[in-house]
This record gives sequence, structure tokens and C-alpha cells, in this order.
Amino acid sequence: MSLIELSRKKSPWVIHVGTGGCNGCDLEILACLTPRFDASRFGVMSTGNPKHADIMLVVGPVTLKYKEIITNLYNQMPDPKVVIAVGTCASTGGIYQGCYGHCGSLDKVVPVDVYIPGCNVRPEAVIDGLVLGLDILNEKERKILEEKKKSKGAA
Amino acid sequence: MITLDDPIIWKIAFPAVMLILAPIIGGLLIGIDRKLTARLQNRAGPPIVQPFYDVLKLFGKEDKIVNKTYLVFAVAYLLTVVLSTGLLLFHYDLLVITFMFGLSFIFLVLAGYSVRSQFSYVGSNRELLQMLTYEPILLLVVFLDRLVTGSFQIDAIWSFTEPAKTEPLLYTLPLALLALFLILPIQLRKSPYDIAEAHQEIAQGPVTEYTGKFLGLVTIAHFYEVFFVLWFIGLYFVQNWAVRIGLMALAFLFSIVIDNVTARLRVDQMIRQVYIIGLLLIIVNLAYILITGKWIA
Amino acid sequence: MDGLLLLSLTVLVPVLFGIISYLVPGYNLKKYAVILCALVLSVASLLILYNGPQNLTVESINIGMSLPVSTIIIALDFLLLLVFLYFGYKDREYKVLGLAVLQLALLAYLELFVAGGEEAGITFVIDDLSIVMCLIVSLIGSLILLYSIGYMKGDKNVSSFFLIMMVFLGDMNALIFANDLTWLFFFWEGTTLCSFLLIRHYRDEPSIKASDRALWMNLLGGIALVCGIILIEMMYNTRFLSELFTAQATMPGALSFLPAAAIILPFAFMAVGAFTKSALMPFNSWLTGAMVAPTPVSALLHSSTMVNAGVYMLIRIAPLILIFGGGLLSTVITIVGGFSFMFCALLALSQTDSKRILAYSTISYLGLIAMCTGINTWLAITAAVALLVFHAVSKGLLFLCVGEITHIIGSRDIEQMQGLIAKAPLVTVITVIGLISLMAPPFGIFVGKWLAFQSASTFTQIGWSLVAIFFIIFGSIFSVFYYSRWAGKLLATKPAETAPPAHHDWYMEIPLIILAAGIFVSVALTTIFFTQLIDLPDIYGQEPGGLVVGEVLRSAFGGFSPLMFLILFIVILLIPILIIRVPKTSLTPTYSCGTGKEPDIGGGYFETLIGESKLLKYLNPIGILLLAILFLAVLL
Ligand code: SF4
Repeated sequence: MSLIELSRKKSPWVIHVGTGGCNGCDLEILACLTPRFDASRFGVMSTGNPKHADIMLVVGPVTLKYKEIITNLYNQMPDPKVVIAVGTCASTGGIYQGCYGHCGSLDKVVPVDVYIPGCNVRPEAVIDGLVLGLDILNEKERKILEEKKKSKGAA
Repeated sequence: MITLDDPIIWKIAFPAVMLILAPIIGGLLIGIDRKLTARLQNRAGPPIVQPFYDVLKLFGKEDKIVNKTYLVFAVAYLLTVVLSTGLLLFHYDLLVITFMFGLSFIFLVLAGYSVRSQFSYVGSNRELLQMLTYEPILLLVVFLDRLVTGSFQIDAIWSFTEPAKTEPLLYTLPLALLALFLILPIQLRKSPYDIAEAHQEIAQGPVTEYTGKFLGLVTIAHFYEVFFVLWFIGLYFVQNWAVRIGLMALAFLFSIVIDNVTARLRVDQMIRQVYIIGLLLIIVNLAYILITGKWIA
Repeated sequence: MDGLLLLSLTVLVPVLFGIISYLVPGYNLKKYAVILCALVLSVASLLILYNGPQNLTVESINIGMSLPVSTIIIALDFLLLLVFLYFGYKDREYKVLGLAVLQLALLAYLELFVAGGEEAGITFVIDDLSIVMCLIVSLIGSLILLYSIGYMKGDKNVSSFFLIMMVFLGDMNALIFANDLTWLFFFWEGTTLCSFLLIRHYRDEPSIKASDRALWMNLLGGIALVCGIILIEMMYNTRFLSELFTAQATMPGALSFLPAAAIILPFAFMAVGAFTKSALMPFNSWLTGAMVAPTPVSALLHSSTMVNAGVYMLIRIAPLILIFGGGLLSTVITIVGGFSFMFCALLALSQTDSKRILAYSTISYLGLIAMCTGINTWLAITAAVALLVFHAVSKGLLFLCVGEITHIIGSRDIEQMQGLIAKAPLVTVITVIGLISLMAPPFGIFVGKWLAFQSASTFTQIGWSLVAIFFIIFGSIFSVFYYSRWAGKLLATKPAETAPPAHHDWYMEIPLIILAAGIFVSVALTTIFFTQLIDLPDIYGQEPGGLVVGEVLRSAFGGFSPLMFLILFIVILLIPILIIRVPKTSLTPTYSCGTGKEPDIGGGYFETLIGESKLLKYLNPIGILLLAILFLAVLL
């Protein structure tokens, strides 16, 4: 494992987006940063800025109004990036299933890498999901590099 | 045969090594800061080398760029900070060093202004206001240094020949040192004066639009800044290495504690507090050295 | 080469070309006259530089018959005042009328009753200071002339415009060479007239108002100057500047009620005259009002002529003040200058109109120069001369840039200039260079400020030195604030923004390029400039060890090398410019919380806190108070 790959695993910066859930999971995500759970042990830092972030934590079923915003945010995140759907409603629609005015679930809008079920999720689950996401980061980067090589070879 | 007290070692080799070590020291200090802050809040906190993980990771990320100008200024910012740290280590003219350090701020501000983002715009505006706040105090402190040592050259602090100069600066300028402590949070971008990078309100201020390696470069510049600021404070007791390092450590701990026990202030509060307290400290100290006659015309 | 020939080349030839350009029909012919004039003027000034210091006596002109110059000048002087009277009457401006009448009376008194020094003497002195000034006037003035060919195309009153511009340059050159005080007074009033006519170029309501204001303020300065001259002739019994150095001061019988220290009273009057010309604090409103004039006029007023005359005068009288023991007077000049430096910078901070920002910053830098002449040591006077030069180059450049930007976007508001670099890269980059040169090390203004800081540190009285340093620090920081905000605005482009290239007018752009190069060259040549072209009167003694050691500027307290830092600065910016590549694929919009909208950004001018209406209320009375203190300091 190269140094950069190691660092990537050690330093996940997170952007946290609420897209119209009941805010239950938002609070649990914040609880992760408190002394009891302390996600910053793993180098997690909440940035509030997609351009600095590696991981996007999305809560809520993505209301129609939020669809454009979440795609914009996703596009502004630099590669390699991981999207984590936090809570049942972000993963499947949850209690909003069949309701008008939202997209149903997050993966209908942007590609999702990790689903964390639960309504609401436990902080432990969020941390578990984050750690799962860390491995995906490096995998993704490898894939991107391979594709680059391929396209170069083709050219 | 070069021995340890050879002037070459202290004049050239040591500063050069320190210049290379500076970002490592700065980064480690920031890591210690994060760890200590975590412990103060009863958390485990990230490892001490976390800042280096962050920078290395940033170098492995994709670039998302708004325009070329702000990247140019970011690199210029880094280079200027390195230059002023180098000048400080190689004992150049203190006044020029202060102005060069100010120039690095100007570059950062220009970088923030040259993207059309409301966050970096507001951040730059605040950065300028912060500069407006700390730079006069810093320059006045430099002027006091010059009054006591008789020269703007850093070397003069080491020249123990004249009787007025044998004392460490700390004994003649204790309040000026306090004034430096006062502007420390501004220079280190820490609470209560972390107004420009107030990440809860305005994303990250002037550095909002950076991604990938350019953000990494800005972070490295910040490592240098931490080193620069503390080294500057170390000038107040050059007679004894132990005391000198202790002084730097004290300043550092002071900034951490203040960071943890205070909330962010508004700009006008900052300006008022720093000007009133800072100028008061400087004037009292000036009066002291004038009355005791410890100054050189 | 013959000094007289050079003198007439710099003084009379511009006037001659002005008349030619006025008379010839058609814009093209006028254009050639202007270009020729600019060429002759620049070459003549360089020849003067090459020729070195010289003293000249001009007593009469021979054109068929011998005409005594003195008489001609006195006749012209009265004519000039009658012109002022005429304008005062025409505009129903009673202040102008009253002041012109007063000046007439004083001048008549001077010519008829004051008998000081009737003997002939050196009438023109070409020394190092006047060579430097002549270079500023002629080189920058010529570039502004070239620029105005492009700028004034299609203007109605273009013939009179070129005539006055060129007469202005000739008159200014005469002013800086003049040694005879009565002649100097004539040329001094000449600049007043020229600036007055140029400010009212557009003949509309605001410009007539602004010009009248400029006129009465400068007439006030003229009165102060003529009072000073009368007193000098009475007290020192000479009317030649150069003879004042060795003159014997005697208090004339009519003024015997004054204390002995009042022997420096004439210099106080002359200083007040200089303050009005340089628009220092209580008189600042005429220069900010003068912004209604066409931009080349502003450039000329601010960088190479008008306002420089004031600080030139201060530099001239500074050693005399030192000789005749006016320490207190110097201190007050320091404070007046420092006050203007700091508070005009603060006022500039609240402005959005680019020309007003520049106007306030001009006043503030002139304040800095005045402050240096007040500190009045070897180092300080060097700083004053250096600042004069560097400021002229940068400020001339910036005004010309603003003129061109106004042509491109049709506005002078800096909020409108956002992202200009995409539209007009060349002008914008040059503007940014100009802005950076006014605030950042290692450019000329920084060298000047550094010298000023060093000289303030040697100031004998520690209390005053602290005040001076206080002014320098805050003034500099405020300048950094408004300049960097403006520079940033110019550079703020959207990602991948391109625009159709703006049209080029080489008459306007070549002067810009030359001046921008001039900024770098002037910094690179700083040390040579200091060793070769600054020769101060003996009264200052010498800087121990010399100011320039190799490439390093060195004072008693420290030193640095401008050239080295210039190279470092260029390297610091060139490395990223050359290395960084921006691939199209990685371009992305700015972060706007994901909404994808382009935010409107701006503001941060703090009008409610430090706007003109807030501050001037207090600053003007303080300025007037300082003037009163100036006289009190002399008399008590
Ligand atoms: S998953 Fe449940 S608790 Fe969480 S945001 Fe959705 S509705 Fe609220």
C-alpha cells in the first residue's frame, strides 16, 4: 500500500447533506463526532464543503427540489469519492415510500457506495459505514487510474 | 574539522536544516494541538501525525479548478511564507521579514478574491480585516525590538557586547511579548479570532475553492506559518535554548487553551479588543523602556 | 551641451508645439505635433540627465531687440491674475474674485515696495533634485500626451486640450528649474491656471464647479506663497533660492514685534502653499473634485505635474528650515503629512469609484512624502525623493489604466470591473501590476516606506517618532486593504470565461506597457538612482557608512536589497504561472451550496462607518486646526 493510499484511509473528510428526511439521522451523525463515539479517531473531519470532502453522507429521500443540488454537490467533489446513504429513507425511501414530491431514494440520483439502514441509524452504524467506505475510496482510485491507462493506450 | 560551535554550523547549516524541518515541526504541532483539544474534550482524538495524512491524501486527489489565477496566488502564498521563514532563520532584517510575512497574507487575500465565490470573497474581506488588526501591533512590537536592540537586524538580538543588550528581550519587553500572544490566535487562525476561516459560517473562507494538491500546498503553507510565528516568539529569549523552547511551548499551549475556552468573536469586537489591549500593552512597555533608559537611539 | 538650449527645449518647445497643434487643422496633424513634442521632451530630459547639474542666468531674450525676462514675467504674472479675475467674475465665484484681488495687491506690494535683492543672480538651477523632477515631468508627461491622442479622439475641444496640456508640461519644467522666487511664483500660478482650465474641460455644471473649487484653493496657496516670498525678501534680503543657504537672517523693523524664532515664518507660509498644491488634508477636496476631468488630465495632475509641485517645494525648503532652526515647524509638517497619509487611506477604503480611490490614495502618498520632508533627516529626504519618483510612475500608470478600462466597460466603478481579465487581459494585468506596486514589497513604494520607517526610527524625539511610525503603519495597512480588494476584483473570472477581445488602441496601450516596464526598471535601478541622483545639501551630513552598499540599501538599523527581492518576487509569481496548467476537464463552478447559481458578490466598503460624509466632518476641522498649529509653532 503506497503512502498516499494509507493516508487516504486515514483521513476521510466528510460532507454531510440533509435532503429532506426527518432529521433523526442528522442528529445521529452529529453524535458520531461527540466524545462518546468520537469519529475523529479515524481522522474524520466535517468540512461542509464538497470541494474538500472525500465522503458524502446523505440523509433523507432526496426531495425533488434537492435533486439538482445533490447532483451539483456530487459533481463538485473531487475523485476519489464515496457516497453513503444514511438511514432507511435515503437507502430505500423508508417511511416516505410512495409519497409524492421526492425521488424515492438516493441511488436514483447519484451512485451510492454504502447503504446504512436504520430508522434512525445508530452512531455505531454510521461509523461502521464510514469505515466500509474507506476501503472503497482506494478501490475507486485504482479503477480510475486503470481507466486512464486504458484510454491512453487506446489513444 | 568542523566543531559544534563553528559559526558556519549556526549561521548556515542549522537554519537550512530548520527550514526543511519547519513544515514537519509545524504539522506535528498542529497534530499535537488536535490531540490535546480532543483530550480536553474527553475524546480520543486523531493521531498526532494526522495533519500529514491529510496533506498526503490531498496530493492524491483530483483537481477541480475554477480558474488559473487563484492557483497562482496559492503557490505564491506558499513560496512567500517559505521565504519569510527562511529570512527569519537566516537572521535577516526584522522589518523586511514582517513585511514579507504580510505579503504572504496579501497573496492569500488576492487568491480568495480572484474566484467568484461568496465564501472566499467574504473570507478575504475578513482576512484583510484581520491583517488590519494584527499587522500594526506586530510592526509596533518590531519597532520596540529595534528600540531595545538598536537595530532591525535579528543578529543584534544576539550581540551581547553592549550592556543594554545583555538582557534577553523578555526582561525589557515583557508586555510586547504579551501583545504578541494577543495576536497569536489571528496568526494561527484560531478561536476567538478565527474569523476569516470560520468554517461553520463561510465554508473555509479564502481557501474554500481549492481542491486536491493545491489545498495541500495551502496546508503546508499553514504549517510554515505556525513555525514562523512560534520562532518569532522564541526571539525573546535567545540566551538559553531551554527557556527559548519553553517560551515557544508556552505560547503554543496558550493558543490551544484560548482556542478551547473561547467562542468566535465578531470582526468589530476583534478590532476593538486587539487595538485597545495591544496598544495599551505596547505603550506601557514603551514607557517602561523609556523611563529605565534601556533604549538605543 | 549648452544648458540654455536644453532649458528652452524642456520649457519653450512644449509651449511652441502646443501652439502649433492648436493652430494646425485636423486631428492627424495635431497628432503628429503631439508625438513630436513628446519625443523632443523626453530626449531633452534625458540630455539634461546626461549633462548633469548646472547653473544658468537668463536675463534677457534677444529677438531683434533685447527684452528683459524679469519684466516680461512680471507683466505675464499680472496678466495671469487678471485672467483669474475674469473667470471669477464670469462664474460669479466670489471666493475666486476676492482671493485674486488680494493676490494682485500682494504681488504689487512685492514688486513695488519690497526691495530685497534687486541684484542679478542665478535664475535657473539644474541640480539633482530638479533633474529627477524634470525626468518625471517629461517622461511620464510625454507618455500621458501619447495616451491622450488615443483617449481624446472625437472630443470637441481637443485643440485647446492639447495646447493646455503641453503648456502645462513646459510650465512645470520651468517651475522646477526656477531659482528666482518671483519667477517661481509666476510658474506656480501658471500650473494653477492650466489645471483650472483642464478640469473645466467638459464645460458642464460639475466640472465648472470643481474647477472653481480648485481655483480658489490654489489661489489661497498662491497667497501663502507670495506672503512667503515677501517675507523672505524682507528677512533674508535675497530672492534666489540658492542664496538662501548662505543668507543672513535679519528681522525687518516693521516686523520687530515678532519673536526671534519667527525668522522661519516665510517657510511656514511656503509650506502652506505647498499643502494646497499637494491637496493635503484640509485642502483635499479640490483634488477629489478634479476627477470630473478627462482621465489623462487626472493622470497628469496626479503623477507628473501639479501635486508634485507642492511636495517639490517642501523638499526644497526642508534644508532651509533645518538651517534656520525650525525644528517645531518640521514636526508639524510631519504630523500634517502623516495625518493626511493615514486618513486619506481610510477614506479611500470606503470608495467604489476607481478614480476617487486613486485620488485619495494620491493624497495619502503625498502626505507620506510631506511627512518625510518633515522628519527632515538625510534618510527621510532620500525617502521623499524616492517616493516621489515611484509614486509618479505607479500612479500615472493606474490612471491611464482606469481611463482605458472606462473606455472598455463604460464605468469607473470597481464593482463593475469584476472579472475584467477575461475581457481585456493586457490592461488588467498591467493594472494589477500597478496596484501591487503600490502596496507590496519589494516595489518602489515599499522601498520608500521602508526608508521612511527607518528615518522615523532615528527621529530625535522618541514621542514624535512614535506618532510618525503610527501614521506610517496604519496608512500602509489601509492602502493594502483597498488596493488588494480592487486587484482581486479585476482577477475574479468565472471558470472558462472567454469574451470577444476588446479593441486595441496602440496609442493608449504603448504608454501603459512602457510605464509597467518602468515600474520594474525603477526598482531594479533603485540603488543606482540613490547613489547617482540624490545629492542633498551639506546640512544633512552623510549617512554613516553610506546608504547603498553594493546592491543593498543599508541604514543604521538594517538593510535589504531591492533588486534581490524584486527577482524573488518575480520568481515567486513566475514559477506558478509557468508550471500550472489548467486542463479543460477539471474546470468546475464555484461552490454555491450546490444551487449552481452565480452569486452576486460585492460590498465591504463600510460607508456607514468611515464614509466621506462621516469622516470629513471631523477631518476638515482637524486639518484647519493643524494649520493653525503650524503658525503657532513658528510664532511661539
Ligand atoms: S431514516 Fe428515519 S430517522 Fe433517519 S432521517 Fe429518514 S425518516 Fe428520519
